[in-house]
Amino acid sequence: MTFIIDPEVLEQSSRDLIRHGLDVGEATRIPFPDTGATAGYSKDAIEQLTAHVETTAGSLREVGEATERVVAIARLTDGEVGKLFDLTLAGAFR
Amino acid sequence: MSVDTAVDGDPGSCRRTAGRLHELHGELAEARAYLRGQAHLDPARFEGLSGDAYRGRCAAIGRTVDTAAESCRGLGRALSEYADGLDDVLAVMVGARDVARRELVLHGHTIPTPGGYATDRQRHVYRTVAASVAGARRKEARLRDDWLSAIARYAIGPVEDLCLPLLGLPPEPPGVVPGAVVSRPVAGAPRTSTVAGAVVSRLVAGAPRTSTTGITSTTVPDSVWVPWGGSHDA
Repeated sequence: MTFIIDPEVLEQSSRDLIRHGLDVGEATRIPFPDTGATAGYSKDAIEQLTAHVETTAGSLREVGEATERVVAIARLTDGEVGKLFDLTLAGAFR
Repeated sequence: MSVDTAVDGDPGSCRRTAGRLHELHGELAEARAYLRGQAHLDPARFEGLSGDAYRGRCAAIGRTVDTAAESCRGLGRALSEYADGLDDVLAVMVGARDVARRELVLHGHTIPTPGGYATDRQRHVYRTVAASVAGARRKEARLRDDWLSAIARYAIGPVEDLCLPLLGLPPEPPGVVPGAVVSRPVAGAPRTSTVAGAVVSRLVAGAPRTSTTGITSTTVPDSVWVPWGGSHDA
């Protein structure tokens, strides 16, 4: 049993996912606002938000890198990979 | 009692943060759009269990991106509104100080109460200035409450961790002419769960949507923080 992947498409997907992850991660450098008496709460809220976004940006990069590995394996098998490989590769996205 | 015209906070700093939140929202929106496409990637391009896992993972990340984008947009907007409001408050305070400089006495940011030798005109000017500063203080408090509500509403993690304080203005003591003398909010209000609990009494489900216990009427947003999950037995 085989399944098909398109290495060209996935290679592009991989690059795009990594790029989005980097762009989002870069944009999390947010200065804390001086909101006067509530400045401490503002800082905490921004920190909480950016921490969450950084994790999300990391997930984007991870999926991109996993896709990159999948493409590399698929190239070795000429785009047709057996069922066992399919099961193994699926684990890369979990 | 003297009138304090000092205002904490910097509208420019708030706008800078709001601008960066807006930019982050833009990046997240782009990532979201891309993930949406990948979550529906044609199975002819990526078939099998791994293709399904890929699409599923992209869809899952897309949902967290959505939440973050919504939070960025909400906080950014609220912060811009806060900055605009703070500019108005600052303008009133600057105006009050200008008047005090010309007609009364000004010590730093404080306008002392006219003494025994003050003229009727000075007393009248003082009352007018005090009333205007009091109005600005009420607006400042509303802005603060709105901003704290926005933090609670758009918090992306456990809101309890933010230990938000009591919303709303303290009631004026009886017998005081409303707005005659106003002191500014205490900077760095306590950030403890006990204080946070006080806000909950105003926000829990079943509580009046509009509080009339303080000076202001604070309309509670639809989605607010309820640390113990909505029970209001306390």
